[in-house]
Amino acid sequence: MGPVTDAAPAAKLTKWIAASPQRVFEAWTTADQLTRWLSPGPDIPLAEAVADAHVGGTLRLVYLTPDAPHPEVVLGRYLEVSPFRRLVFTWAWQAPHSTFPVEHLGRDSTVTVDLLPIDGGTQVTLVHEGLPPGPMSARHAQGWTGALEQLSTFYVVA
Amino acid sequence: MDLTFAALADPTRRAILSRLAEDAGASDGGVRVTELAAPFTRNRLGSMSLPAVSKHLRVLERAGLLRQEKDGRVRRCYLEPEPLRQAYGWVVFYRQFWTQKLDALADFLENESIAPSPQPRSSAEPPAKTKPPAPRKRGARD
Repeated sequence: MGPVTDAAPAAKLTKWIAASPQRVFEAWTTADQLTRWLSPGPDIPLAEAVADAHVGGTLRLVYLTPDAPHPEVVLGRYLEVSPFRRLVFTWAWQAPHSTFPVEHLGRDSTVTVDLLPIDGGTQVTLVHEGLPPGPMSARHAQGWTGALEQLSTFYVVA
Repeated sequence: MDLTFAALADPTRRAILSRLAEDAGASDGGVRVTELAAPFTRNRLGSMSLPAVSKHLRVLERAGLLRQEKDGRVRRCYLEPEPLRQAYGWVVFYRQFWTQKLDALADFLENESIAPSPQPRSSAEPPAKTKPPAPRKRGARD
């Protein structure tokens, strides 16, 4: 990756999950398991998932939103698939029906998921980078307080 | 936008902004420069000079993240949140998005009893819902 973007926006988070890396990996790479947890909530189901989890394979997620006539579609490509350890895939919201701002449509960002066996469970570290700078929408831009709280973690990535 | 990120790429400046953000939540009276500088001029983080702190403040000011006002002989600083909102909309969105997803993933894996299947790529196979819960004893020998 380019060295230019030291301060480029990235979202990084970690979570410990009481399940083995095998199970976590499976949940990430199996389409029908993805639909069980990768949806925003009962009101916005992940209606359809394709997870062809090998390098170069396709990830496709179709979200139905209640107040929109068209689904939101995420299209990605697997860049790295290391069973039970690491998963890297691209992530782009698709035009033409998306309600997302145009600067993010069709533009690849990258999601890296690392799995580490810790304390009988799995520590999941997720980094979503290559995000375009700029507001998402009034609805989603949570204001600056939240952003500030997170600043310290953004830069861990750099 | 570049100015914003350049300004934020420094831990001292981020600390200054965090301090201002705290204050903005509590009152809108701004924070005196000497008060802002105190953590850097007199603690374990070393002894930064007041002019050095002022330089950081100017960088933040140029990036539109901070406003300074003279109140008699006292200079006060105010946070200008708009560039942050502009810059971090997507980060905030995705942090929230993935936080919810990872919580949901944990719920899914911890509450459902899905036996791990031998090959993780079997996307056609429905999850084995009816299997009894797998014993939680794992990694006992580590």
